[in-house]
Amino acid sequence: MKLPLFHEVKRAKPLLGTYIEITACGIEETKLHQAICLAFERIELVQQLMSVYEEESEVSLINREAFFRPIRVSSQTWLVLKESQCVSVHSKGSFSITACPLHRNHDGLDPHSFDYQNVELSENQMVSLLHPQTQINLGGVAKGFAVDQAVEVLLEQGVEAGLVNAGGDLRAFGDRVFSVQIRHPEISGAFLMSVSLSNESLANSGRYFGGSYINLNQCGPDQATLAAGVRSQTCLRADALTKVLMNEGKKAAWILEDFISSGYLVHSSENSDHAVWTYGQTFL
Amino acid sequence: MKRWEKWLIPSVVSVLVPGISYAAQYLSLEQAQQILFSQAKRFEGSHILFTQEQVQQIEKKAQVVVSTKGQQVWKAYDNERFLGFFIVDYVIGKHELIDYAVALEPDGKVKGVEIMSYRESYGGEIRNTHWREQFIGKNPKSLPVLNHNIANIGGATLSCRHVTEGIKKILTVYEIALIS
Repeated sequence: MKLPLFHEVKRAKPLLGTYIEITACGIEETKLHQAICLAFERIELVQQLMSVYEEESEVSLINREAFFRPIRVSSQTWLVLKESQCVSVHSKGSFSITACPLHRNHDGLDPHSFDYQNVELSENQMVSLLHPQTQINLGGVAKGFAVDQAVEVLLEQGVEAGLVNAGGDLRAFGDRVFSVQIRHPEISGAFLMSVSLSNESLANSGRYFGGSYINLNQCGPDQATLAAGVRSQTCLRADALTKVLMNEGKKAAWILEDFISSGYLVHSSENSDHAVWTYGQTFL
Repeated sequence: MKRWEKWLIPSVVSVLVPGISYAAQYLSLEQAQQILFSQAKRFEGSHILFTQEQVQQIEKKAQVVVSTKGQQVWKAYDNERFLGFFIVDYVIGKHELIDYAVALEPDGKVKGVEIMSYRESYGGEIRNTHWREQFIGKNPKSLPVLNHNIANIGGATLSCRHVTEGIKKILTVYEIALIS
């Protein structure tokens, strides 16, 4: 019997401020292209719903009005808010969508407004903000969620296996193992390690190439931490947990366990090479 | 050193040097045209040359440096109906070289963007390290192939700022050199 030819189609688009690369494997090339087009459309939808820079997005609507009246959101935004809240509760606020330093000037703001408990999620996908100065920013997790959404579309379209990579946050699906090289946080062109991904996600955070990492923890950042990454079932969860690992360092190991995830941390040490710590038996 | 041992050197060194280059080829010109204008039956290509005045206007309006003398542009047609413009451009970032295609509706609205190829390289490191010297005098065929086996990259989030600026430039080119 002659086996059907297996195709691999790889495409990329600039979306969510980064390059989204989709690899899809299957038998019919035309169908793979169609599935990828639909997956990109879904990512564009996530961008429209969750960007703080687009006035018409649901996130902008929440920030404008949810203190005055509850706002009903789409099932996509709802899912991200629920998962974010779950990680915030477990990490006691180390990860929070309310501490959004990237698009606001913090001068003169009540520190209490950054508390994750100021976002109230009630029945029928209704969102309220409990402090007049509280604002949300899903920038830390929207990329991970967009990856999950793209994978969902590809599976719906019958794509057998593939990988979605949002500029470094990725998820593999189907009966295929993907090899992923993780960049070194300080040496451009060098890689820290290689991991194999199969039906799971990998997200990373860090001070890459001299950039700064904004710590959301009011207690102050763990200065020694250069980069962190988490392997988890969904990319949304992996994305949120990397922020916890980045902020809390080794203390966050038990939180990863709670979420059946594993991770790595890269520390700088003055007199020696970088130390790489991995958590969870399945990381490498 | 035995004669055969010499031949081991390039392969060992190439393993030690971390991923120097990452490249991905996504779409050929024809594939990009087909995806962005699936209804098109034919494409009429031309090379638009900018006048000095146009270069100045584009640079002023788009706030980018125009490094090319013109722009490669295709007009997409479904039989006789004009569907829009298909433009291929490239951007050079700090470490990356990207070829991309932009489809514009006849009125200049962006219809779609596809990255055609992505190449990330760290030429500086290759020039500055000693390892290259080891190959002087060797048969060029024995030089280690840059690491093209890296299938996927995790870690730092890459910014698509350069392509975003490139698209801004193309929209200005449309206004100043295409429709006028």
